[in-house]
Order: sequence, then C-alpha cells, then structure tokens
Amino acid sequence: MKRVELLSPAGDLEKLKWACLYGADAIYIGGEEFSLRANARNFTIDEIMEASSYVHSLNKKLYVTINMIFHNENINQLIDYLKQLECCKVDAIIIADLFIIDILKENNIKIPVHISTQQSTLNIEAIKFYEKEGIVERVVLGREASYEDIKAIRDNSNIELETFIHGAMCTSYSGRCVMSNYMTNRDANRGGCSQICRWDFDLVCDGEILEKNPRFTMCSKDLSMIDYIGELIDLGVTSFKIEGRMRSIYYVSTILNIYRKVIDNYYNGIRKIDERDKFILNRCANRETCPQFLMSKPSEKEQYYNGRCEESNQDFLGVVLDYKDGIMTITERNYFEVGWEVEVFGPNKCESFVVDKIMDGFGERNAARHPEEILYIPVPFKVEKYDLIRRKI
Amino acid sequence: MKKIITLPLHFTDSLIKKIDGIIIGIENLSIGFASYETKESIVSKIKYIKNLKREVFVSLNKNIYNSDLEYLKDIINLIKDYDIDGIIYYDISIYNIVKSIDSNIPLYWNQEHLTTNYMTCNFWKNRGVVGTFLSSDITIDEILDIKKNVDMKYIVQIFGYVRMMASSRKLITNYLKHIGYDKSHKTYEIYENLSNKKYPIIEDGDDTITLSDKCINGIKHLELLEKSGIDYIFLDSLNIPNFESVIDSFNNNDISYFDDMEDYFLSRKTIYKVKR
Repeated sequence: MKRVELLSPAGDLEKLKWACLYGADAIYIGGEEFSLRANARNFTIDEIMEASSYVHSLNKKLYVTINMIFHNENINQLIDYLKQLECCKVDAIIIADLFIIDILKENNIKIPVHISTQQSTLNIEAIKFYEKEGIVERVVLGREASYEDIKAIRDNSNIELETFIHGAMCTSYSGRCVMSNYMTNRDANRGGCSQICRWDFDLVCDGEILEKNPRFTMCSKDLSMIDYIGELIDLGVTSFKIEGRMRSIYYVSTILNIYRKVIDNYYNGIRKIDERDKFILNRCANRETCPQFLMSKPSEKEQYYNGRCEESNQDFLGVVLDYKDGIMTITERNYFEVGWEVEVFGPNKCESFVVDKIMDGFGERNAARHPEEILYIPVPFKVEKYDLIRRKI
Repeated sequence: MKKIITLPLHFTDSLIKKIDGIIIGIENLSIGFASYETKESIVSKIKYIKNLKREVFVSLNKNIYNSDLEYLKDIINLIKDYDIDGIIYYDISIYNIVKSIDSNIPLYWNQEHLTTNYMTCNFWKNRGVVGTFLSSDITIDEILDIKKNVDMKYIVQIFGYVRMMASSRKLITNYLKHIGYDKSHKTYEIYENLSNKKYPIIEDGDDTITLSDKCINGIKHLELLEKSGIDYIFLDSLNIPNFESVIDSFNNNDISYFDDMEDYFLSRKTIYKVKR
C-alpha cells in the first residue's frame, strides 16, 4: 500500500532543509515569478536547482507553484521558466491557470501538472476533465470539499488527490475573491492579497450601523485535520498538504513533527492522538483550529470574531547548534530563565528538563534575554544539531 | 455590440425589448442574481424571452459539488433543445457535462476573476468554447489585447456592482448568531471605517457574496470596445433601483445620468508586487 505523502511548504532553502529534516515527504516552493506569494522571498532558479538536488538526494519530491492567474503582461517569460524547471528536474508544477497545460504540450516540456486549489475542484465531472488532459497527475481539492465529496471523487477516479490538512483558510472559494483588488488595489490572484477577510468591519443593517462588540469579520479559524488523518488515509488521499510558505521554521517544524507522528502511528496501528499534540498545534500559530468543511458546513463556531482567544506566546526559545559533553550550544529566539522547564524536540523525539544554568561566552547568567545570542546550556540527555527548544506547555 | 443584462426583480416586456439579450440564473446552480428560475420555470422563461426575439443565456456560475451533479445534468438536458444562445459556466464540470451529451449549446467560459488573459481564452477556444466573459479586474487595454490575440466572442461587464467575493459560508447569519441577533433586515452592508466605504453583502442560499462599494460604469469606453469588435457588453441589474433608466442612458449614450460611479480597473492596473 502506497503511503500518504506529507507535503510541506518552504519559503526558502533553509526552511526547505528543516522541512525535510522534520518529516516532509515532499516540499512545495515558489519561484521569483508566477506564484501566489509575490511578496515572499521565494526561490531563484539556481536555488530551485539546489533544492531539487537536495530533496532528491533524500528520496523526497519537489513541487513548484505557478499558481498565479496570469494577465497578458505576465505570459512572455513563462516558456523559458518552464524549460528551466524541467532542467531542474522538479517533480511537478502546481498550476491555477489552465493555459499552462497547452504550453507544456506544445513545447514538449515534460513536467507533471498538479491543479491548484485555486480552481476549487469539488466534483468528479471536473476531475474527469483534468484526466482527459493527460498530463494532469494530481488535483489539489478545494478546501470546501467534504468527506463525502472526497469519497465520491476517489471512488470514481484514479487521479492523485491532495487535500489541505493544516493552516490558514481563505474565507471565499479560492480564486473567487478580489476584495483585495477593490479595497487596496492589490491583485489577490497574482499574489498580492491584502487579506481583507481578516479585517474588522461594522455590519450595516437596512442602512443603520449595528454597533456591537465584537465587530463583524469574515475571518475563519485555521484548518486542522488532526482528528481525521486516519479517515483521509483510508479514503485514499494521495497527499496531505500543510499551508504556509511564509511561515517560520518553528511553525513548519512543529506542525510537520506532529503530523509525521500521527501518520506513522496510524500505519503502525496506533489510532489514539495525543491531546497535548493538538494543544501544541494550536499554540504554534496562536490560532484556534477546526476541520472546517470536512464533516459539516462551517457555522459561527468556525469563524473568528474579535473576541477571539488569541494570545501571542513566545514558546519558541531556541535552536540547537551543537552538543558536546552534556552541554548544548543554542541560538536563542525568545526569553527564558533558570528554573524554567523546557522541551527539546526533534524528528521523532521530545524530552524535557529544567534549566539550571545558562552560560554565554563570559560566564553564567540567570536569563536568556537577547534573541540570536549564542548560549551554552547543560542538558541531561543527548540532543542533536537542529533540535528545537520550546517552553514546556 | 450587443447589450445583455440580468433581469431585475420586476420587469416588463418593454424593458426586455430595449436590450439584446438576457442572462438568467438557475436556482441552486447560480449565484448573485435578483431572482432565479427553477426546474419548472426555466423552459417557459426561455420561450418567453425567445418570443420577444432576444438572445438568452443561462449562467451556471456557482461552484458545483458532487451532490449538485444530478440536478445540474437534469437542467442541462432540459434546456438543450430550446436553442439558447449560450451557457455561461464557472465550474469545469459544466463544460464536461455539456461536451459529453449530444448538444450544440454554445459555451461561454466565465470563471469570474480567472478570465484575465488571452492564452487561457485560447485554451478554452481550442476545446470548443465559443466565448469568454472577461474578468472585471483587467484594463481596457488588456481587454483589447485579448480580443486582438484570440478571436472568440467576449462579454465585458460595463455596468453594475462587481461580485468581489463568493464564500461557501453564511457570513451574515453566523455573525448575527454569534452576537445573538435575528437575521431580519432586508439589506446588509459591511462598513470599513478607515476608507468610509460600504460594501453590500448578500447571503444567497448557503453562500455569501460581497459587492463593490460603487457601481462599475464603463460607458465612456463603449466606442473603443465597439471598434475593437467586442461582441457583448453586460449590465448587471443586481442591487440597482430603476434599472430601466440605466438601460435608457446606455442606449442614448447619456453619460450625464451617472454620478458617483467608477470605471475601476478598466482604466487602472492592479499591483501585486508591493515595493518595500
């Protein structure tokens, strides 16, 4: 039985390497042009080449997003870019604008195609259309797809199916929102989205402002399928996607670490999900999560209103750079002090201890106060480079 | 260049005779219409418009779920023999179903804000689609460039509120429930206080749409569009009081009728790479 793929975002080469380390089977990235994160750092073609070699050396896969909706002015450089991606041996491109299918065919460019969630594919007839195109290997389903929708599609098609399992949601059907264009002149479908659905408004009823607290918003809670991983595996979903090419190393590593554990446990017959893992998932982005459309249509409980329980936390304390003779060298991220209980976690492990000494290059101190500072901390178990440290929560 | 409209809630034969064609919506398969036809009423509405010697298009612009497919096929089979001038489709399932049955219904690609370049128009043309309903967020120059590069029929929205967003959530109901209010008002808008703008928001079945704060009005571009060979201009009646006056103004090219409207992206480009 082919195992489900755990698909991680990566905003740059460093994040890509972390994602590989923390359990991703495949990584999706964006190039400097044509992706929906127009204002992120993104990958140069040389970096895509390096990323491809790196993930393939680990027997993992690399997908490149070309998921903007093109205007005429964007079309010119595309063919060269696709040829470059072919040279980079990327495993697929994720497209939203369908003309790219013709470009690939006409220019004999051999890159498999994944249809982006921007097409909001929610039914078997649309899937049949893509099947007929021949080079479409996979469809990323719309986030509105329910369990029954996925099942009906899976039962009637052999095409690979990808579903989002974690991360932020668009309030609208993906691709069907240009509020950003009309309110801020920033083109949502070309990667400039200013996230209007996160804004607060007043609701006006028959011309009168409803002066109520909380104010109106369209903002939805984040998606988490943590409780339905087994069901989705049994349905035959090919790939589980985590949202967030602009997210931090800590976020992506934490989310991957937990889903990797849950997926592996499921294949090993362990169905119980650790409640603490769920708690950490939610704290990681400081946002509440829910399965959104999977089992029923979202109600007011799946929306965020500004009375939400969203508190900033500084759980992420540091990154392990080295370990020798019971002392770990770390680079600090957030404040902590002697006496705090902390966890060190890495791929497939998590252990905690109480910090009883913090040292810098000059001697001992009672607290870590300066992000990015290099510190030395005695630790009662073996740790490894690239382990992460968080406050015990 | 023909004028096509969506029908306002109340209309007369004389209104229909002032334009060239009607786009009608179907209950549960369309979104953002003042009224919808049902399985029972659709054929008589098509005949009625045809009797007035006007073109009739059926817009199936809702996102389609598996559970909609049977009903969708029923509707397509029901209308396929009545010589309609086109099905305007959002979801790709509609293309696939129409192509799989013995039908000559002309298809118009209308993925709202995804219809922004000539290459994708060409993609659909190569697959037998006769026309594209162009996005409202491209410029006149881009429209002309599309027409120049790919010869197919084009529909351009030239008047009416723009559907800025469609969500599969009941955003008004959810909010009112959250604050303990009944949903009993006739109209809703969302007010953004920094810009001091109000945007109509409408729950339509299980979905919610938001509209632009002002009506788009491209009357000043008519001559250019006509010269370039654009086939249809579209005037949307949704949320417009006294729509017949709007039609009269367009027929008389009377620009003085309109105030407080914008031509939005017809003459302004969007940006997407924000300089830092």
